[in-house]
Amino acid sequence: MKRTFLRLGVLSSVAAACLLSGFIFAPARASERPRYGGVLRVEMRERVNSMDPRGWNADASDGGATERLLGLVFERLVRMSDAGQVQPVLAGSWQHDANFTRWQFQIRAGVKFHDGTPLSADAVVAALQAEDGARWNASVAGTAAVFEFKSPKPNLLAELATGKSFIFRAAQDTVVGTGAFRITDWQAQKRLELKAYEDCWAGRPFVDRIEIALGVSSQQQETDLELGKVDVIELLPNLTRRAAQISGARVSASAPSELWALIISPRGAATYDARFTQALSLAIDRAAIVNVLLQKQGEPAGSLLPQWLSGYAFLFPAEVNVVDAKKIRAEFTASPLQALVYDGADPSAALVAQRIAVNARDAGINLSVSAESASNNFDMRLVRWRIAAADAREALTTLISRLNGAQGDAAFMPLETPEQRYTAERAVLDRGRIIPLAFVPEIYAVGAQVKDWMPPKWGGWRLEDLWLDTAPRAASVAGPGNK
Amino acid sequence: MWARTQCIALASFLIFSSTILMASPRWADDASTKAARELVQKIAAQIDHKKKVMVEVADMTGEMRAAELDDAKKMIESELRARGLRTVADSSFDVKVRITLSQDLIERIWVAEYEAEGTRAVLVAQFEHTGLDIRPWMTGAHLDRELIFSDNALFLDFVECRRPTKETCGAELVLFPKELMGMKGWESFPDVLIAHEKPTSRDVRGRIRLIDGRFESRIEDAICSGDTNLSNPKCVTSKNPWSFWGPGGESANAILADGQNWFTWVGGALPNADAKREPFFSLAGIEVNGEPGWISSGTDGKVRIFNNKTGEILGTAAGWGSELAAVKTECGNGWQILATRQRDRTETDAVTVFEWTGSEFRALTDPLEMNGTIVSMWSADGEGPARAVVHNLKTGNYEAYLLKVGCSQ
Amino acid sequence: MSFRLKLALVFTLTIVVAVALVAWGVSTYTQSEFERVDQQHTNALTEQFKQEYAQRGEEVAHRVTLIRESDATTKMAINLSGPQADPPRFFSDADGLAKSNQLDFLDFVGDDGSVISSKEWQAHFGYKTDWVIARGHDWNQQPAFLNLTELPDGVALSLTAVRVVSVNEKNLYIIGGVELDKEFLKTLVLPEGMRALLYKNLQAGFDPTLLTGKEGSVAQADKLAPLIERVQKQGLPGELTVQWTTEPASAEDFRAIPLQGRGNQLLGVLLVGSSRAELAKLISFIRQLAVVVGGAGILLGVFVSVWFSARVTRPLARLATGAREVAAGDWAVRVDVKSRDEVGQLARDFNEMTRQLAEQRERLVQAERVAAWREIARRLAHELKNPLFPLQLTLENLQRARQQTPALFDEIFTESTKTLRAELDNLKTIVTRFSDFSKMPAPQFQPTNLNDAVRNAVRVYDAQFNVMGRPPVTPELYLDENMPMIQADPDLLHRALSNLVLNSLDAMPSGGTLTVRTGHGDGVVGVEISDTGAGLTPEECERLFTPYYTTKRMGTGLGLAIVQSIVSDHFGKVSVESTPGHGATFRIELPVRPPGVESHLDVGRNSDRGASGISGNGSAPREEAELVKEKRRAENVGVKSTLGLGE
Repeated sequence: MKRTFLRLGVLSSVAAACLLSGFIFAPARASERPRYGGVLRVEMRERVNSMDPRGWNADASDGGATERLLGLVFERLVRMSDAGQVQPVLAGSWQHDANFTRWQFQIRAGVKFHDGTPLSADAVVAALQAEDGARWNASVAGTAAVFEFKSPKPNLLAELATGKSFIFRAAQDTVVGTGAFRITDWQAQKRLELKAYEDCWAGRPFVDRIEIALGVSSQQQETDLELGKVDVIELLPNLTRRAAQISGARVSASAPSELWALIISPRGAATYDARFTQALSLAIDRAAIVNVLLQKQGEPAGSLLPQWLSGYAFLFPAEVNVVDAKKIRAEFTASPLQALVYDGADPSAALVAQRIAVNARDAGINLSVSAESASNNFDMRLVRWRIAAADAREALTTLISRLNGAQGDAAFMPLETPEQRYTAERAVLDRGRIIPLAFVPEIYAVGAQVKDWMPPKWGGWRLEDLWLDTAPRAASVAGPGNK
Repeated sequence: MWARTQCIALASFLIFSSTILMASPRWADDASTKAARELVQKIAAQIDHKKKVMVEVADMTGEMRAAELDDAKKMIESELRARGLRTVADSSFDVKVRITLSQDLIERIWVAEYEAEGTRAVLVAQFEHTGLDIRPWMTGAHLDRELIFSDNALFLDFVECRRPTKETCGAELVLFPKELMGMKGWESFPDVLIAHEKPTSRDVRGRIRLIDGRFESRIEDAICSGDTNLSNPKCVTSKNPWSFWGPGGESANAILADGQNWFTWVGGALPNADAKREPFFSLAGIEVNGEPGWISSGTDGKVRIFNNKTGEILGTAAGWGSELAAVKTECGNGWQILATRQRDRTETDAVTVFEWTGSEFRALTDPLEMNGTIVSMWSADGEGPARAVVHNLKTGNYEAYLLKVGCSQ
Repeated sequence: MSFRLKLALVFTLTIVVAVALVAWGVSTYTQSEFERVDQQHTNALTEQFKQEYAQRGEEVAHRVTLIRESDATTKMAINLSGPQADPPRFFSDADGLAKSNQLDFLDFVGDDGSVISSKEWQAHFGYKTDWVIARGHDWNQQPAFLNLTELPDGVALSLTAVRVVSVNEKNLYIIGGVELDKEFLKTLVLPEGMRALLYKNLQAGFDPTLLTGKEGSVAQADKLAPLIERVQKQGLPGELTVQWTTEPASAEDFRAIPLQGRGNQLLGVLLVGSSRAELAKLISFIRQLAVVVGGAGILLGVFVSVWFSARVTRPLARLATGAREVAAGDWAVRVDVKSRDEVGQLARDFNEMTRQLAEQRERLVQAERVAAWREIARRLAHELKNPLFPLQLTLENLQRARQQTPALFDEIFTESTKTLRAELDNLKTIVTRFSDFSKMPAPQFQPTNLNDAVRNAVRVYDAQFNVMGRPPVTPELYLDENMPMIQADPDLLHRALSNLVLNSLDAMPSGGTLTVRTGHGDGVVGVEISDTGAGLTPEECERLFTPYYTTKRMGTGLGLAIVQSIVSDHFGKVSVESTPGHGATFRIELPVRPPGVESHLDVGRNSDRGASGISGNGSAPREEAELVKEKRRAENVGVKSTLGLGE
């Protein structure tokens, strides 16, 4: 924060946070002022099962979709700005001791849950402990929540800005949040209807209501957008171009924040050999996958973290090298990896999996490709892992834990500096349990009347900040619009 | 005066030092140089000094020109030699060190990779980058903009004292949604915290004015006033209407809709005038056909220009943005209208200068592309440039500009 | 088996065979006709397929040409020919264009042969399709051809056309096709009972999974392996009949048509199958028809043959009846046959024969009568001669005695008169017996219990079984208690039985056992009277029943003749068995109901109508009865002769 930097001498970190807390979060407005009202209609491919943050599993296939929905109703203490800086949300300010073992968060005043209960430090502690009691040694000091850790937690803010650190209040049979919208109708896997929360501490959102349809196929979403039945749809990379041709629609892509990778399954792991995985990795033409199948939406991946987040991803080559792949393949008599599965609900995943099979064949590796089902056994799975955090350390920790399990190396690997993160990534990749393929952005198409669609850089939504231009437009007489 | 000060203090990263920053290559930014040196130190510490080292420099950011890359390479090589390493340019090297300028979400980083004794090493040095997107002044343009201030937090309006005005002002003032900041050169004043009775609108409106050497700021229902040195500022909560002033000191009153971002007319003259029935986003006093008048951008998307006395709507336009300002100049009929485009904040904005010919609006300039979206735009009281706060879409910073209409005739 | 039945069977058999022959002929003809029609169908279908195939080819070529001329393709070609070529941009174009032009397969291939966009195998972009860029092809002039199109999961048989767009001397190849699969087969209009199968020839030998029908995979595909393999080997059309199950109706004729691609390589085989179920149905129908018609024919035949044979055999039947009547003694029977054919002749001869037989019999009866009278005369003379001689002697004595003293004379006289009286009595007895014999009445039939008759006859001689100074005779009666009542004249029966009992007593002068048994059989009753006397020689047995034959010193020889006569009048039989020294057994068999006297039984059952029954016996007038009696006698003569009786 430049101004903070400028005034280092005169502002304490807490004071700085206080300074920021009031407005740094406030969104900028365009030269065309937002209009209030209207119903925003959104369609999603995933079938979200629960709107209870306690039951949310970030690793589940619908983890990302669920987080997007939860984010409309629940808030965290802090969040990451597009510039990767921590911004206060429900925490007005914070401070920590020198070795990052004691953190104190001043809870923002004047915040109310949707049921009218004021947000308090107790509520914050209760919510976080409900999520993982053992993780949070929390106490309350007046209007502040205090967390104490045995080992330093320099990355606590990034942790609180992501993952299951939503602040909620569990009423009798429901869970309420402080977010810009409150739930008026929830039909698991089918439909979510939200209403603007008038008393939202950050100001009432511009739209009156949001109607979200779940489990809508990509093609259906596109048709609905074209027919004007929906305002916001998710786009698969390979459908982006077509969506962009829908009149008035705009396509918005986040930074490539989803890692597409092949994961060696436990079955495959029993027989796999890192060298063989390397052969397969070399055979895959990632550039073709990104340029053609993903229609240039994203970038080839040789690493776990994308370049924009780590800065060193270019050190992990992602070029195809069939000659070397063949050489390595020749060292093996039989192929230990044969069955590759993908998410059947995702057409682009099917294409990518088929392309991998075609590439693998060039190196003499025959893969059978099929949609994943409960019954079929497989050696490899094509996964799409969302990089939820705008913090390299947090993102890498999450990825490695997801790959090796919570008790995996991530817990022990030092990931503070870029060198350490590079070393960790190199170690994980050398083990050959994962073959990164591409980093793909979250892509949305929004209707003409949706204004100020500015999702976070790494994906997700900020529906509370957009507005609907439903006012009839008079014909232009003369103006900048016509120039 | 203030800007000059910043220009001299290049190394201090003062944001106001835009022109100098622009002149110096980004890699050579002091932080960048420092980081490069840090990296060289790391390399020197790890590579056997007897080895011959070949250095390659690459740029992942796409911002370094070839010459800059060459300069960077020379600088790094000299730094290595200074630390006892032998650098070579041909294939007789023992170790090839590839140094790449890259960047992550927050910072830029120098990344060095090399292989020695079969092990591959990667070294990194980070440095903060200003992220400022500095454009040259638009030469020959009728509408010029001057960057006054930049911050990564949203602010709504500002007052600058560099330009001699009839008003005396003690300090530059920047109005943030919840504080008023003042600074004068190196000196900065304690910020005035602004309390709100209830949560502000998501599209918070705020304005600051100088009246007789005193400031008056208003953010929704919070009004603060005091001297420009912020010695004894006073803040109160008020439901009073907002006041707008016409070219001849005429006033118009309007109330900001509760928790929202548009105004409705109250009282004032010509209660029956149609023009005054339409709620608006912005309003500017302007001389129309030699008489005092107003131009407003209605919430219905129409721009109306009308006579103050009769309230008669003389003309309308559509497809304009919601921000308007009027400036008195030596050009044309003496009064120009600065209008934004009908864009949303995902697109960069542009400001066009219009003139009311008496029968229609005529564009005097090409649209001046801004590097972001215009958060707010206010006319100066009386003469003087308009003020605009722009959200830079590239850097995410908020920038304060003065918009001046220059005449070439 | 009667002649008529035989005749009927012959007729019937003839008809059945005729019908069977007709049925066989019809079914054979039908089968050959059906096969001919079936062959025509198969040919038609083959032709239809070829036309369909050619038409599809034109359609495919047309559609691919349309795609070549579409804006999308032009844009693509322009883009790809320029410096800013962006192949990925067109990655998914093939899909939409293929759908809108109803093509199963569509590939856009760049100037260097690399796939830009593929509908059937999207992931295959960037890979080379060298054959299409091979020199010497003016693709735009080439018709559609059979092709093997690569798919992610295998290879498909397709009808493919290639077109080219050239911009800035850079070619963009458009390869479009439709799959030859079950959908294609569905579009073939086949006659009932016919089907088409398609075999993808991807490898040497037969692979059942490569054979597809309208509904997908084909069951028991292996049965077609020989045909496919033959076509693979020879590359020529072939035929095969496949029996799917043991049912004849399951048989199917297959004709294989080789499908060749570019370079005449065999890419597929079309199999046209024609079910034989229709034929089987037709044949079974004909068989059923034959059975029905045959059945009807047989019935008709039976009827006709019965009628005809009846007509033919009626005169013969009459002859047979006549013959039987003649055999029954009715010599007067005549057969009335009008026809002039052999049967008529036979009938006339029969009548002549019976007439002559009657005359001969008459003559025989006359002769017998004369013989009998002679015998009677001889016997009478003999009988009378015996007493007459003493009479003569006595009279001569008397005459001589007159010369004697009166006393002596008186003595002689007394003696002589005694002798005369005795001889006269003797003569009187002889005369009485003869008159009795001549007075033998016709039997008066009435219900009679044979056992009672036996008991009565034996009782008569109770006194003589134990006569002083004579060894006793022990009578032993074994009577059938279930003896039915018979129609007989009890008095005559008593006489006959008494004669036999007396005869047996006379045969046992030195005592013995008289055994009498009665019994009954099928419509007859019998009685056996056995003695333990000296028995008879065969010669004696032969002459035993001859009148006036006797083995007794004082016998007239009429006793057994009377028995004979009575039994004969009762339509019965009498016989004797004897072994010399072991006694003799006389056996009498009587019908329970003598012929012509059934009504007597009824009457007899009703005693109060007995007399009227007799007088009411109109069916047997007196003369007739006499005649019958005569017949019996003649019969008995015959019987005797058969028994070899007579002295």
